[in-house]
Amino acid sequence: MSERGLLRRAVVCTIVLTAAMLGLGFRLAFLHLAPHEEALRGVRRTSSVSRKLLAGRGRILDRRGGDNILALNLPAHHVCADPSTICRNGSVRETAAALAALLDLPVDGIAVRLNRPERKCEFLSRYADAETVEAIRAADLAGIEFRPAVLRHYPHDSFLCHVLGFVNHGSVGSAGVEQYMDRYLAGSSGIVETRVNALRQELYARRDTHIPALEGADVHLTIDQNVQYMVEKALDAAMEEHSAKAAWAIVQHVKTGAILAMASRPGYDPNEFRFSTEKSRLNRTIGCVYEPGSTMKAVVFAAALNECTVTPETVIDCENGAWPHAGKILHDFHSYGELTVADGIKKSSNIMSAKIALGLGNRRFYGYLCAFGFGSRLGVDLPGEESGILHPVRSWSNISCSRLAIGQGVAVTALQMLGAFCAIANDGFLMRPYVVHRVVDRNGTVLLERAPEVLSRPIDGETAEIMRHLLRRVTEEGGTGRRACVEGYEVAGKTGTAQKAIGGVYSSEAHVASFVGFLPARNPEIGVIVVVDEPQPLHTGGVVAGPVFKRIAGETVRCLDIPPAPKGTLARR
Amino acid sequence: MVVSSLALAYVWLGCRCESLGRELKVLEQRQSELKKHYDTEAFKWARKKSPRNIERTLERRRITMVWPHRTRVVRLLEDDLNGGLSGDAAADVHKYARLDRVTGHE
Repeated sequence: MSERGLLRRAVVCTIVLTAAMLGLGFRLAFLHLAPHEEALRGVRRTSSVSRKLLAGRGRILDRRGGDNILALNLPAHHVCADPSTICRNGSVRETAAALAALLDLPVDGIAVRLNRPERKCEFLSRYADAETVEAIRAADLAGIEFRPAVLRHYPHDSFLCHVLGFVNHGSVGSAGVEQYMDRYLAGSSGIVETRVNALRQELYARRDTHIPALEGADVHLTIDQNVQYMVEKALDAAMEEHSAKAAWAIVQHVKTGAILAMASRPGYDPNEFRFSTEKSRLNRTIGCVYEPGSTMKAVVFAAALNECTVTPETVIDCENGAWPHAGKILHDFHSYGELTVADGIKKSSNIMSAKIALGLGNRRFYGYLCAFGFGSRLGVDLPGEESGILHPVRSWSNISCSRLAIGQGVAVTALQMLGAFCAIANDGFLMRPYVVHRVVDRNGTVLLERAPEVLSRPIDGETAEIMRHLLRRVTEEGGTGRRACVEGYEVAGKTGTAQKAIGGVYSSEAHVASFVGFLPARNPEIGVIVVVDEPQPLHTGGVVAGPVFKRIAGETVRCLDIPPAPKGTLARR
Repeated sequence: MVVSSLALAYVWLGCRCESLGRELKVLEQRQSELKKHYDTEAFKWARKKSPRNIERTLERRRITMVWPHRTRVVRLLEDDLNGGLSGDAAADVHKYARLDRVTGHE
């Protein structure tokens, strides 16, 4: 090539290159200087990520706190399969067989789910534990992956199930303390907005936003794990022994209203709440109303003593077991002639109770029932509390007063009845029952601390002391509740046997047996109620519920180290 | 020279920040792992020391534990621990000593 040709070529190349460089330079300047929001957004979109930081749900602990964990979050994994990959590899049968053995699922079911080549993800097992995940990893199956998840777990299975409740699949508390304290337990999620490099790895130094998740707070209950366990065991034994339909019990601290144990049978496993029935999920201690029967007499006697319409020495004619009143005949279980008021409650005379209630008058009697907490919710910190049934005075008939006095025509919850007895034990102060002691966040800051709260004072201290004395006699020789006495302790209480109203009439077959009381009688510390629904063949409160009370109360005083009342603190009347 | 030094310092600081960021990220992951591990261990411990598990373990080992009989429990009165009070004061404080108090006294 000639020299001239070379020169021309060099000039052309220079011009082209210069033009290209100028073009690129202009483009670069244009991109950097001109406002191109759309382009910038695109760059930001590809180079930054936003991630939600999930808050861990708080734990639930018993009254001793520490390691006594009743509910907590556990790390788990969902096992997922990629059917398209597995089908492409032609390993559906082999993979299904291997997974069936590891996940304890039917082979055919897994094979059907894997044989869907159009799908990219198929959940095979949710919340698989660490051992299962490790075993599947070790099997080295192609097309199987694991997605991290958090599992709400209840380490003791059905233990305390009705109080704890459960969390649904959306991590929302759906029953019990989980529901009632959800706003504390749930915490709040955080967010991270950060830049990533070309490999999509986070550039920590270039985090735009970092709002850490607020972990859920721990809820400390008033429940004592040991007492609760023993109560549940006693109820299970009673259910079996008496072939009962249901049974429930509460142990309450008399002076504060703190619930130490609350159990209901049948129960369920909150880890497997999907398989439970509505009946098994019902917390009968607060959500089931029943006619209390003779346990209501304690309220009648307390009201009359408080109004001074009777004294313990007042003699009342018990009509030899049959008393016609307002066109109906009221019967006693055993026939009695004249009895003192003190003996009337010991023998559980229906006629005496009815006469005493009539002596009070409808309005006064109704006022006392309300003051003792019947007919309204006590406000326990659990969802699903029933208010019971107590009709207003204006809708009472001629016999209502006499029937209410023996626990008919009124429906109560076990919590209400126990509350009334604890009021008698607590110098007349009716306390609000509670199961949540305090709420503490992860830094140790106390967010909520429950203090004992007085709801009302239906009777004065002097009347309460007389009642404690009278109720103590119920568990002595000749009383209806002698099977409830605890060795070494003086127990005050009352038996209750109520016929169930079925189809508008009182059944002679179906009964509710109960015993409610407190101890030590002279210096009460704990109150206990036991209710057994439809026990067979024995059905009286003294025979069925009394021994259960004895077992629960006897072990509770040992667990809590409650001494029998010393001689120096004897009440003198 | 000065500009070169500043540029090198800038690059070094940038690298250092990146390195610390990576380290923090690793520590964050480690913390998360440890928390998971702690939760798992707490769960196992809670399960192990539950009354039901203790009872089962005792049964497996054929150990029978019962509460001591009432007559074998010696309770000290509060005024015994106080060294004894006299007169009316003693009559007012006839209360059993709590278990923790007795232990402390020992």
